[in-house]
Amino acid sequence: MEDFEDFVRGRSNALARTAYLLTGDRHQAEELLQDTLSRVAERWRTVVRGGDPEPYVRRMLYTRAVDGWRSRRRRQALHEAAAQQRPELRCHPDDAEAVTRRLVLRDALARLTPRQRAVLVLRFYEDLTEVQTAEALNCSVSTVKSQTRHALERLRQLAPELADTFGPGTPVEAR
Amino acid sequence: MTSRLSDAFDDLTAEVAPFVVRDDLGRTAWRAGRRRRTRRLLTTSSLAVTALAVLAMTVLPWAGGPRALTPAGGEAGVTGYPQRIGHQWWIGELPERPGPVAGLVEIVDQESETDGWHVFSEHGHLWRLAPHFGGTGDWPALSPDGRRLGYLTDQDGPYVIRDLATGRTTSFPSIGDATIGRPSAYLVAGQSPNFWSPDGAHLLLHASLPPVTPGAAILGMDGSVRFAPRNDLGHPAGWAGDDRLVWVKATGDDPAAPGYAVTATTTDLAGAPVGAVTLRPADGWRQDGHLNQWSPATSPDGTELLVSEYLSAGEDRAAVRRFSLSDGGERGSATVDHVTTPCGASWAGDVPAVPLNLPDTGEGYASTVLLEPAGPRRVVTADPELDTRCLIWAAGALAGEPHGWPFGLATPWWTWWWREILVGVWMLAAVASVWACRIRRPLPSPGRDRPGGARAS
Repeated sequence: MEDFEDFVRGRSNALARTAYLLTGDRHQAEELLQDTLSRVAERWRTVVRGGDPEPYVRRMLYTRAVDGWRSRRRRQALHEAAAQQRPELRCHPDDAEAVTRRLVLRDALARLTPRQRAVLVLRFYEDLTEVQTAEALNCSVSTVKSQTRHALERLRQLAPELADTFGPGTPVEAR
Repeated sequence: MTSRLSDAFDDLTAEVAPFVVRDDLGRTAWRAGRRRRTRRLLTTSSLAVTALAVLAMTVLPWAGGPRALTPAGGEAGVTGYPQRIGHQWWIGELPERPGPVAGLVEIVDQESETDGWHVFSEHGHLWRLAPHFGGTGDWPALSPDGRRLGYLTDQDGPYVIRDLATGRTTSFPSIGDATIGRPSAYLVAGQSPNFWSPDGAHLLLHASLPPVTPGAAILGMDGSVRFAPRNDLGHPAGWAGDDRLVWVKATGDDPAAPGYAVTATTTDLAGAPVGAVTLRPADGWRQDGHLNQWSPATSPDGTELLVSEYLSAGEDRAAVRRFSLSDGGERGSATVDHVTTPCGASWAGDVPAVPLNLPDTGEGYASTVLLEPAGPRRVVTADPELDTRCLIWAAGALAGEPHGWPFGLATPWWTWWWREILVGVWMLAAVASVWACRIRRPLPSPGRDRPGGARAS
């Protein structure tokens, strides 16, 4: 148990950021992270025997976010509740434009499908290649390409004010 | 090169962690995981036990080896009967010593390799009675205790009586099939019931002595054969004690004609009459009925006679009557629908057992109803897939415990295929488990937000 808690203490912040991007909401991110870690704890000995547990945890995080976590109705309810409160966003009086950009991006992300969000996070946050992303999501490379394209088009429609971030002609490349 | 979207993601999540990660996240997750592990262990154990039970029930009945039914004392008989006779993926031949059995069922699907008589255990396991040659004399005899089985092995004979507990076989080479011209000493009549003596020492067969002397062959367990000519006394109907035979004859074919009567004559083992009674139905013989030549059968104690009249007014309807052999008076009657011919009626103790073919459930759905004092009681149902017709019971089986778990006498199709359905579900669950393991593989590297990565904090 101690090594599990050590792992959670050491990696929970990074995992929380990924969970937040995958859900677009802190409450949902908290639930997703809790659900994922409880499932990892269920098989902790086996996971540890396989080496570094983090790749396994991240796989579980993405799988739960895309396929198994929460019903669509429940997610929608959480989104609506989250829309009323945004305490997680920094709000310095002298940085109003930055706050607005974050709010717009967060709301736009929240309106993507879970799989589209997962593709974007894997490609542009985790820095995975298309092949690795396809393997992570158990789908084909062509599906990753099309999901990425559709997700970006959707973001452009939802947040035209962020055109400099992912607008047409803007280089959008994974690092 | 850094993309602007990546920067936007970094900016969006820069200070989100404190809002998402609670102080006790590790402890809470560990406890939840422990609860999940306990539930998973319980579920897995339950599924494993269920799967083993299903496999045991699915595979073991198909195994071809002898069943462990041999009685320890060597004299025990069958103690129960199956409520369900279902299909088997593989049916083996009757082993040498299967132990006492509950009965035989006739499968009549001519296109099937399983066509012919099959022996079944008290739990419904089937064995093929080989060889099956399809002759008219092919009508096995099963003793009341289910231990001894008599049948004609070939048209030329011999007739054999097998002790299913010890494997001992008594052969009667002088018995052949009446349909061939071979000069056998005795010829067995086709589709005729046979009767065991109350002490189990003799078997009475409807037979003839060539060239044209009809009567009954009495087979002894010591291999002896004696012949009792019927002397115009009708058809053999069983025993009235260990040394008395009963014959039944109808004078005329039309019950409405004057002088129509049905007589039961008692003879000694040589066929000499020692008594006779005229059967007297309480309400007279039915005008629309006719005597079923296979139906007369004496009760095990030799005091009563069972007679069935087929009624032309009803579809497969019969009037089943019990008469006293001491005075010919009727002791009771019942009208039964869906009676199967030419399967004969029999006795289960002091209760008549009548063969049925259940309606509205497909062709060849053999069953048996017991005419108990409290009312008719159906005791068995057969899988339509088997295309069954006649059933021959060991009387002792029907007096024992029924075995029909889990569906008893139910007839819906899925009750015959529940093992296959469960195996299918189990296999789907196995495939789902493999899939679940597949999606639990670690995430591919690299990841910037991992130890040593760009977002390792």
